[in-house]
Amino acid sequence: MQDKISLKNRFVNEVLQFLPNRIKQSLIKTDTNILIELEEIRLRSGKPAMLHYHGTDGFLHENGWVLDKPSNMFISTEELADTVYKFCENSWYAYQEDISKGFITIRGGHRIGIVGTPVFKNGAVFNMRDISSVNIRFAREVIGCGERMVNYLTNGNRDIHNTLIVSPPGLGKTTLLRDIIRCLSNGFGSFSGVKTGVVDERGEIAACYKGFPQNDLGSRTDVINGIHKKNGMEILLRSMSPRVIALDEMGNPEDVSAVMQVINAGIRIIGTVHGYDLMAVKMRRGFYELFEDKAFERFIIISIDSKLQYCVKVLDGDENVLDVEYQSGRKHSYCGKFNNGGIRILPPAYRAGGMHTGNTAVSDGARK
Amino acid sequence: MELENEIHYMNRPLGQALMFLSQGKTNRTSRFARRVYELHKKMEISIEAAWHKSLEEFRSQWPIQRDEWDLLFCIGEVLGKTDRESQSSFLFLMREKFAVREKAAEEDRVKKDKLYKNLGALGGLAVVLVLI
Repeated sequence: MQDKISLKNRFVNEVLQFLPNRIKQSLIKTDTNILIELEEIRLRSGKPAMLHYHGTDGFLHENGWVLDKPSNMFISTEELADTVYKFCENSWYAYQEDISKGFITIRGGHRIGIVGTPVFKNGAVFNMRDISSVNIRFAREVIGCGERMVNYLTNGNRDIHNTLIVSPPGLGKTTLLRDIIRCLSNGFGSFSGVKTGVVDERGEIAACYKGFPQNDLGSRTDVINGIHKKNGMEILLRSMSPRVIALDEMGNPEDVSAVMQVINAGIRIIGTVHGYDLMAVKMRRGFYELFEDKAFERFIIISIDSKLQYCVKVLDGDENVLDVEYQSGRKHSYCGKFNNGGIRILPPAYRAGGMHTGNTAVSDGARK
Repeated sequence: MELENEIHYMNRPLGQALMFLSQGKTNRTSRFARRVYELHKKMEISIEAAWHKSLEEFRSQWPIQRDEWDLLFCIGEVLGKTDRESQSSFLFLMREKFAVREKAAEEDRVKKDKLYKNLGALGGLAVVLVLI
């Protein structure tokens, strides 16, 4: 119960206050079970607000209901611009580099994706005007999710294998990486903790706010925040002498070559990359060399099957499977029917035994 | 100057910058910065609105001219709404404008000082003449 309240409070403190007043008032009325499991809120100019959770989309109604059909809560362009300005803490200048990349990371590590009409300066995106869509993607810390896998990453009790986590977007790469960092930093079983440096380019791993990491990354972890991976790794190497460097979403060939330098310097790497399988990653520019040199000794592949069940697989450097873990992940949301034939989406609490145990204020569809 | 530093070199968002400026200081500017920050946080209003509201509150305490008030209002309207370079050049421009006004006020003071001195001397002379 406490968890539920603290999750809701986190949502209110970190996100709700920045949203347009109409959306805020509506979300306040929305069932807590839905709020705490939100994955995304999508605001599009001229379209109703959309909530995404448990692999399902639903449209927000002014009374807080989540419906399968578009509601009449249309968002204006001005509201979108104002929302982004609030997310930027009334300071465009402080987020200008992030905006030019198309997203900003706010307190709590939540990522706000922004698209509109880019403004160019010297051939590069400098700003985004006429914002047309905003995607608020919620970050969650799942303590303990990497405890099983981390056992395969250690090499003795003070060293680890260079590891690459491969997963399609949105399946929990960063969440798994975060928990592995925590385990390696604190130590576990016979493994003594190691000094770990984290290059948190997008601020999603540690979610630093005023220099304080809001996610638990362990007591031997140093975080450099909001910097390109290449520069971040160089600074960490010079200033913090880490044993392990962790970084999220490798992809830029420049980052990959910097990773090679770090590995050659005897530092261990744990990185993540977008991809559906190892073969696809191998073909990418920069990664080919890493695979040729057998830079990685462990791979963690996250995938999801048609039943929305997660599969986390650990492979060694020769791609032999060491362990496979299945986790029940996102499930299709239960859909309740209104008397008038409309469908509303219900939180998992309603699913237990087919009983509607939560707030059933609109169960008859009368919208009262 | 300090706000410019917080924006340009520290790249701190305005709320944090104002809070930093007010910490451990009791001068007028720090009190103003703290008030803007408080209003922005507690009343959940924009920095611009908090800046203008604070100026209204401080109006009676600051003996400055109307055109200087206008400049201060103008700062609130632009703060946070452009990129870092533009914020810096805007704040630099505002400082220059205030410097010009300060210089004009100083010249005015010297002129008036001289005038009152002359008036005093003439008045004294007049009194002496009357007494004689």
